[in-house]
Amino acid sequence: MSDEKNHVPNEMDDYQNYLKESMNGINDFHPYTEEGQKEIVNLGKNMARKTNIMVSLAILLLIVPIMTLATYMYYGIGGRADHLIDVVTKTIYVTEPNMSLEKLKVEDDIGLFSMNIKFDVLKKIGKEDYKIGNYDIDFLLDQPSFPKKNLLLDRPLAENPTKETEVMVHPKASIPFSTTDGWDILKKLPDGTVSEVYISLNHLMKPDDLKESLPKNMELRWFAVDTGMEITQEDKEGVPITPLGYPAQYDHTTWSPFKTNGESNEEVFLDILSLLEKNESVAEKVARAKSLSMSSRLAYIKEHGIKVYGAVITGPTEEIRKLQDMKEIRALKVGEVKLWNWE
Amino acid sequence: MELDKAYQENVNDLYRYLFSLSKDHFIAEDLVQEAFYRAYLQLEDYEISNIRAWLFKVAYHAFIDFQRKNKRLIIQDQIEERGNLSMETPEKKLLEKESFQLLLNDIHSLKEQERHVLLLCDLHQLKYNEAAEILNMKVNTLKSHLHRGRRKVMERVKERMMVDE
Amino acid sequence: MELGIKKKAKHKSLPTISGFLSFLIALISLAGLNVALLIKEKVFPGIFIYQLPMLSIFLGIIGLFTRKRSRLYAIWGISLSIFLFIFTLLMVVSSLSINYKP
Repeated sequence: MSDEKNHVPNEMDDYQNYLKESMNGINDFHPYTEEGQKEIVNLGKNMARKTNIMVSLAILLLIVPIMTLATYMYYGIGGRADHLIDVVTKTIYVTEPNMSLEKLKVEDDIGLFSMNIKFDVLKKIGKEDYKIGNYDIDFLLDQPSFPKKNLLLDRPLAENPTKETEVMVHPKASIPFSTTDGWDILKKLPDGTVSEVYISLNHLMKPDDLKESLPKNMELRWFAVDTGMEITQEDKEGVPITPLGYPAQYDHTTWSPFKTNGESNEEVFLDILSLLEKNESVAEKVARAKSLSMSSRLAYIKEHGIKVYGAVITGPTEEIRKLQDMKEIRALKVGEVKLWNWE
Repeated sequence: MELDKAYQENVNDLYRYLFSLSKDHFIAEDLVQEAFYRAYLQLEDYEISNIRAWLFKVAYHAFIDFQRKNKRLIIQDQIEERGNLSMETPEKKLLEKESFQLLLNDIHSLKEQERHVLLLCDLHQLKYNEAAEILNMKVNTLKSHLHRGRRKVMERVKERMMVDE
Repeated sequence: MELGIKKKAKHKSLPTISGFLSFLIALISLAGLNVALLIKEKVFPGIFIYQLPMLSIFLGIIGLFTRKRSRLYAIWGISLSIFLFIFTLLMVVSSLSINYKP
């Protein structure tokens, strides 16, 4: 800084001299001893370390709550979870013959970006609703996995349905099972039991006509509706389909879609189909059939009206045997049998 | 560990710098601590080529933040300081320290940027580019600030000498 | 002008500690909440989402009015506690809107 010595003394030199003079001894001034230096550096270091640790810890601990909250918001906002539950439960009503559930008892469990729902399913055999198993479905966001079903049935329907496993067949389709077996089983069954049977009709009928032509002392549970695909029993791509239908009776269960309020079960059925049409990927996971082809089947029903080709009936076994005399019935397949509960 | 050593060597330097900025022992002491805290917060084992300049930078920012948070406090301090100045009792203080304080007062009467440039370049002998980096200004700007600052300080010194005579 | 070092004792340790404690308590609450979430506890333990965050906010506010270094901790403590409250509130609201049963 003093390389300008050779010049004529000027302002800057004066300044440098003044600076030197003033600073004299200042730079030798050491307010901190060696130990003090160490202490102050260590103090800063430890403080910094403490801050770093605590801030990192805070950020780490925020991860799970924030993700949980995000998940809850995802399912909560706009009722997304309720909507998914709605689609799942309604799918069961229209794809599983004579199967119902208690929506009030659907349990949900929300994890990180996922939801699990569990519910019991029921079948009415005779006069009583039997718990026949449960469904356990995991959702990743809004995509369901295939349900884990645990069904306690003697004669469950095929989980991978094909033409050969169908129990209710269209009049124009061939019957894949022996037509006499069903009646034989009924004959062998003792009186004093109640049975659930699947019947296939000789021709398409209006639901009300079928109701009236049936003998008294038994209950119609479920209608299988003609949707235009039942003759081939597969969709356009050749994937097997299962019957679509709806419960035949008023359902007293709380929150059941068929606890109708003035409207008929047919109207509710059509509403459900249009709901499932909009949520077909979810419904197809829940249903046994891999394809629902909802839009074309719904369009067919709207065009041709609701005509049934099959039904589920339950009642005392000796009464069910009388169905053999009915000319409308083409074939019968026995489902579940339970001990007497009719009266 | 080497970083610790390097930091330790600069403790006194940093204290003097912060003292020259704040003109208050307690604030300087506090800010030294704050500066080392920040230095460690920002890096624990990176390699820095110029630890001294880097520490000065951290200290500078610690002071600026402190100043921003305690604006009123600083102004009050300066007023007090000036009050002290008028009742100067030179015999109580060592000559060097008195002249140092005069110099500090001269520098503190400058504009903010000039003051910072002078403190870094003249009082603490940082290189132009280091100081420019710390103050986040171009070297040319820094040089002009330095030049103007030095001239103003000299004017004050001359004024004082004339009064003394 | 005093350039000598005076050991200025612990006059700042008390306020500093309130911010630190605020942060620490908030961290403990947060850790408790994490545990509750990870073991899927249905009912959140109130101490972690109410009592402790309240204490943390209280200490944090004391910490705020003290020295600058403590303020960082105090701000963290208060923010985390407020997060805990908002978290609880939003969780309750969204839980009610998921599969609500009377």
